[in-house]
Amino acid sequence: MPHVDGPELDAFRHTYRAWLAEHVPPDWRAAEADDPVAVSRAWMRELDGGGYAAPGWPVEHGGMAASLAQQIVMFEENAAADAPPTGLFGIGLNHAGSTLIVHGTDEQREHLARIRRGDEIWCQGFSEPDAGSDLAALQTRAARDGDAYVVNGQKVWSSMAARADWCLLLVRTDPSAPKRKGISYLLLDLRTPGITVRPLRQITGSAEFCEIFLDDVVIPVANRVGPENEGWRISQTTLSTERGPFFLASVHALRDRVRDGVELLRSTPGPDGRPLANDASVRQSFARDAGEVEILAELYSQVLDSQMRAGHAGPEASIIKLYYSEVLHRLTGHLVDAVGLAAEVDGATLVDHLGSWGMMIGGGTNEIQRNVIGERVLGLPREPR
Amino acid sequence: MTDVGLDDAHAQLRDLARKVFADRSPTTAIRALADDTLGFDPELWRTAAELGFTGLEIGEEHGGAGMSFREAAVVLDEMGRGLVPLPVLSSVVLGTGALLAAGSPAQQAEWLPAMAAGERRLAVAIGPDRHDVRVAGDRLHGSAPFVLDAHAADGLVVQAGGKLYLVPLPASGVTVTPAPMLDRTRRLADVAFDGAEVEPMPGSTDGASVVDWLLDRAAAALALDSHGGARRAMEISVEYAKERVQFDRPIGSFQAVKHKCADMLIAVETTRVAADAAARDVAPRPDGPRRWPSIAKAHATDAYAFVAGAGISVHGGIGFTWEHDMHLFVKRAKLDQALFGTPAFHRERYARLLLD
Repeated sequence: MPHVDGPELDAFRHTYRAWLAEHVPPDWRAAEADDPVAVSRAWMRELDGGGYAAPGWPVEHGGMAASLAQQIVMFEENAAADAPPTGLFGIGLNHAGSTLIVHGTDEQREHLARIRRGDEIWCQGFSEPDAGSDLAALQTRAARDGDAYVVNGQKVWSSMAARADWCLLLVRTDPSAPKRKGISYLLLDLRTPGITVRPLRQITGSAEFCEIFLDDVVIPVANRVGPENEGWRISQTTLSTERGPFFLASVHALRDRVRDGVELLRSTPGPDGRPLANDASVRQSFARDAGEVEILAELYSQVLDSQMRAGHAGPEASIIKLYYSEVLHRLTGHLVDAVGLAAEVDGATLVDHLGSWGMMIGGGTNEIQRNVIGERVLGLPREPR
Repeated sequence: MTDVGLDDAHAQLRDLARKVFADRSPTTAIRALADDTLGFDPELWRTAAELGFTGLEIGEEHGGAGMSFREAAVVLDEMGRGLVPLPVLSSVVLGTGALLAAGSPAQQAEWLPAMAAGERRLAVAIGPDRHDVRVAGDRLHGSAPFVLDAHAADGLVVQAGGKLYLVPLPASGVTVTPAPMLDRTRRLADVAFDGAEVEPMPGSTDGASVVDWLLDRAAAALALDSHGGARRAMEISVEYAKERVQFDRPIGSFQAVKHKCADMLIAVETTRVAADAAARDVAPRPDGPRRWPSIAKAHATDAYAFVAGAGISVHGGIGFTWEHDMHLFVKRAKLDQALFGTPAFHRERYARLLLD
């Protein structure tokens, strides 16, 4: 991982470590079993009390204007102190936060404090059944009626929508304009009448994603971010201003999977009764995958380093996303293949492998990432679209 | 992204090496050496020595630059890029490494100044392929097939029974027979020992650790060669995909070609970080174990073979001709995979650190 040391960072690390030691609730894991949302909300409130809730935000919005290096330090210290998770607030802190800070009205920016304090969980209503990779083809219609829009349509792949309070919504306000020109960006209060949220069960059996059905939902014009029909541009800044060590948790988790894989292969007997860790072909594939995890961690650390210098993420993010998801897919797939029927019964290894398809599709499919790499990194000509 | 980790001095060294190799060793010159007995251009070797490339890691007291493998890595990367046929891996990386780690003060004083000056070269017979050399008294017996650049060496470093021995050449009891090669940018020879008289290298008494370090240096060097070659093969292919028009469009606009090029970039970038990490890992002296050289050797040489092979596919029929340079990359990549331990050999080596 990148070099995040030096006297100032060390001082920051010690201050934050001391704060965590005093504030992480000792019994939060027990409480989480009953009500994970309440635990997460309470921890956000605690973090905000210390000024740590939204490290990447500017100071005037209650953030710390923390450098990427400081955010990496905080990630490491959170993990070391076993602090409660804040993933439910990810869309609020990243997508909603960066969009409202850049494009929001003063009134809209009042959401920022509520996100920090754990009062508002946000989700994202961008994709639709007929607008996936081709997001600009979205059809959800918003008809202007005085100082409100009346919205009808359907959204899909909205992470955490079943637990969310608010939603970042892309809608079509001008059906006659070319597809990127007729889109507006709205903030939707999920308590508004006419909304049905239905969890979408995934191949892993869990249901993080939801469908959102919108039936004559009334949204005040005051909840529009930016000018009418300029929502596409704003959605692009939402995605490109994503900051912070986005894949750090994933890369750490992948290293943990390698460690778990070592234990699995040592403890699972193969057909000859000896541990799989002694099998020559298993050793080959595991060494290949584990080596690739090390290479990914090294590559990601360099990408973070160059982000720290340049101040923004380049198209390298596509390389990380693509490589990360495929290394995860290979590692888990080879472990499943190695343990055979035990994977069917124990379940966890196979579920990990099934989950890897989500990583290869979510956040822009790997096929789209290959287009991005081909065109923006290698300068190959665009295909006609 | 390519310049991450390169400081200014390294960037200057890289620019210098790239220019020298481009000017003095274009593929037309490399092709002209295909049937040459020596297999490299002695004038280019002299130039490399004058520029200090042959003595980067040799101390100033022995006429070298007193630098580290990090600097040698820059030159190795550029040699890969240019498919350059010079006995650098054999003599500069491994011969020098063996002397630095295991040579007696007298051996170092005798060999290092001449090696820094490019006046003498060492080849190294340490296996791992079918290496079968025994020592009896101060005499060597047995055979070492596939010894890199033995045909052009003034001496051999030989592993026998876990220790290293030095044999000045020519010597009675040593037969060097050049092997026919498909890759014409490097030369291997079969070496047979029949009672050759040898000097022990005293620093190798703890044996395995020096040999492991040399194998790691070879692995890192081949990973760097693979990065340089793979990146160049990718650049040539991407340029072609932008220019070549079929169905009224540049073929690089088709996803089937574009995605292949994207996969080439992933292979090249992952190879870059692995090779850099391996170079950092072997820069200090022998104490092991090191995980990066084997990770990098397996990954980088496989990646190079993939990229060069995909390069032929992107070019279509023209890529299959002798006239086009892509097969030079494919052949060097295949030799990089096999030299000093196949990818499977190095994965097993890493598996021992992981699983045992």
